[in-house]
Amino acid sequence: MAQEGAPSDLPAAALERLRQQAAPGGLFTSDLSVNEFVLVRQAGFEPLGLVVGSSIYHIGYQPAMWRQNQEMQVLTQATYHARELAMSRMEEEADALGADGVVGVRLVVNRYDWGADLAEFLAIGTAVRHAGGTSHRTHDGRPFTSDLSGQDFWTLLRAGYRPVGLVMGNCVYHVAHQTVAQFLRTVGQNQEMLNFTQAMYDARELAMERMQAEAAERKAEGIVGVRIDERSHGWGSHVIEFFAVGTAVVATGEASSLPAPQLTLALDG
Amino acid sequence: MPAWFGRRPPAGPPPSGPGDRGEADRDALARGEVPASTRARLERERARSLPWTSTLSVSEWALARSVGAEPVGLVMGSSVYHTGWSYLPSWQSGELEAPTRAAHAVRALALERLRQEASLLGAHGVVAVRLERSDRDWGSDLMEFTAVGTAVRFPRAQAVPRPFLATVGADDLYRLLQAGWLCVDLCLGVSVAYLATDWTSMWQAGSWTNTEVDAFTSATYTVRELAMRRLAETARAARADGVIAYDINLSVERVERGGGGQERTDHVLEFVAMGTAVVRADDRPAALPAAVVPLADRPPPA
Repeated sequence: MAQEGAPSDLPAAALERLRQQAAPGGLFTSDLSVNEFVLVRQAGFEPLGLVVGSSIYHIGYQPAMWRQNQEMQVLTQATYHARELAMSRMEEEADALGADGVVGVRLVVNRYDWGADLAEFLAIGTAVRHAGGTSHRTHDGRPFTSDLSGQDFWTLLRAGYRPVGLVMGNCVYHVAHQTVAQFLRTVGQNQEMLNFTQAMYDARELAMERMQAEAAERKAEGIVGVRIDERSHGWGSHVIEFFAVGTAVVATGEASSLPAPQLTLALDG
Repeated sequence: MPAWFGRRPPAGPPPSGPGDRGEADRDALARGEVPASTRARLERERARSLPWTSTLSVSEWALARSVGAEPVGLVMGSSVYHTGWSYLPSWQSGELEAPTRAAHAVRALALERLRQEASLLGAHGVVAVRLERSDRDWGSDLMEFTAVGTAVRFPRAQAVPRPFLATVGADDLYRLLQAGWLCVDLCLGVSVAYLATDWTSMWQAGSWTNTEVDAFTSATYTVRELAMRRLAETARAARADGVIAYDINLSVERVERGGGGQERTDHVLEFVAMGTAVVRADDRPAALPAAVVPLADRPPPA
């Protein structure tokens, strides 16, 4: 059900693939496991197709002050922008399929041999649609995105919540070098390095704030499955990147219909 | 056509923090408080003007809610620490006082800052606490520890001044509560010792026959006993009945000593014991599990 005049920035081949899949009797594709497939269908959704979005991006350069704890805003923004391109292209594919959302989204950064500061940002997941026809899109009409597995998606819906978006926050940060005076004060002493601790706090705080701001923008109640990873794109040991990611969720208004859990002991061990 | 379609313009500059907050934040950390920006964010999270956050998976999150524990926020604490020196005569072995204190202090600082974040959220405890080490080459003898966990609140329970910390996850919290046990706190015991290699050890370690290296065995016993005794002391002080999810870890670092034909390899041993102290809340019999035979394929061995 590609809407008229819709996704303008997808390549022709991708549009043709989506048009065929969205046609009545079209074939669905999905990277869900069989267990996930069964559970997603049990939750009342049908898989429509594997959707992807990618962008190969050149990360710019920013000099840092040797003795200063500071955010590297140019580098932070590179990750933001490239991720945005990949995610929005994936959302466009989902929209072209008439999907309510995308489950099992994986956001991958690949560094092939393109060149020193080049990275591929790839978003990939399975587009799903509610079989009963109830819209599960976000408040502004976008398909939801989520990194939840089929199992987690089932559990979340049963618990009376639904996903609204894969939300992310990051911060690339330059940690100041020690001065000679600072070095001399620490020689032989047990001492907390407050300058370094403060840098870690500042960088992580910025990443968390941004992730929560994204979730608030999507009118989410909370974020489940948050992971905070420290990554590096080869900027040297004094430049660190904190990356926070999770699935923003909102209550559906329905009471939890999750069956009471039972203790079991598997006899196949 | 919805407004978000098409090639979106570059996202604006990321919303930046309130200028250089370095000085004030360092002072706050030195006073044993979390930085003002962290405090402000957690207060907004507590007032629900920001979405809550949780490191728990959906299953764990649902399980926690099913026992009345409401996940209220991801909490963290970290510390970068410089280890000082302890002087020992070159042939002497024994516990190193400054490195032992440093190894304990850096972990305790990270954990107490995490606890403080949980307090700011009005939590009763923190589950799934992970303590991770990173080695930084920003200077010599540096270690960094970061603690991350999910703060939980029991809406019907009274507020507590000091939230508990637990290494167990929400699924284990569920199992414990089902069996009538409560988490009390995370317990830690640390010991760092120097082991100078004497002639006997050198001879035993270099021997062509099967031989126990007595001094090495005895040194590992010493650090282990000291660390486990300290862990038991903190558990007793917390009035616990026992410690579960006990994790012990020994690491050994080589130190090259001497010169002029007198070279030898000494060792620094670090022993860390960590676990969750628990207390029996009621005497209900443990529930009988249902026996099942899963039809799922077994995951391949790791």
